[in-house]
Amino acid sequence: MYNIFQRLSSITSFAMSTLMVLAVLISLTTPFIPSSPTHSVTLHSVQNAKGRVVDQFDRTARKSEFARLTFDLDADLSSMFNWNTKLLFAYITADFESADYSTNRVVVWDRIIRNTRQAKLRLRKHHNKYTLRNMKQTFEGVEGANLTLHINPVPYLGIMYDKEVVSIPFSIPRPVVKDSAKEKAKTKRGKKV
Amino acid sequence: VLESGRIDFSGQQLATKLSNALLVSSGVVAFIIGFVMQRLSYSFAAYAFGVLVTYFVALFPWPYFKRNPVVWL
Repeated sequence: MYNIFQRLSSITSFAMSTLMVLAVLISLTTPFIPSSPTHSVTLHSVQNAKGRVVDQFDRTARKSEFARLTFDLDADLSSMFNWNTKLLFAYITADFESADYSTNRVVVWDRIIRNTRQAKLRLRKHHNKYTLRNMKQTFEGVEGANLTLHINPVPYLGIMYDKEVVSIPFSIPRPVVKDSAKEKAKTKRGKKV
Repeated sequence: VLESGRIDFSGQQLATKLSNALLVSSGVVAFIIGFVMQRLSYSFAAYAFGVLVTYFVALFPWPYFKRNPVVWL
């Protein structure tokens, strides 16, 4: 500490250590900030239809059962925004048990909420953003499913975690079976029956 | 130039203690300011200001660092 450069070096290194302690303090005290979000999810309808994976016009693609949902979402997440919140990631998953795997979780909708203005969600008869289908191309054997809303607060400093907020049960129906006589008439190419 | 800013030994002790105290207190004040105003940028701005104050107080060879000069024979 006998000349300016020594003092500059010593003061700067201690300043960086103190800055690190400040950052750790901020990240450790963030989970204790109270928040009171309100949320409710209701399911309108579930449909199950057969279609082709990736491209519906590609006849070589494999066929699969696709479940389509319409849901309502009411949420006020503005109280989850504190000084350390960068954004909230809200997503809805369909969880179900199948014969092959005990846990299946498919994300059917998600949204990035960046400020308190966007945090007031009001969705009516919203379709699922991403396709809901089973690994085995069919939902046969899947008894019940749960529609769960998760919220993921992403902080500026600290660890991000998942908050499972609300969960409603639903069941995926069997796909509608078409009239077999009509199906046979279709497969005869060009020739009218 | 490399030998500039010389201060005596008790001045060096004072410089160390002063800079440590100033930096820790500016960290605490920065946390409080940010928490009360609920803005992270205020916290880091207050801390940066505290670091600049520390540089101003403890970096330069002020007279209060030279109060006990070493007496050579």
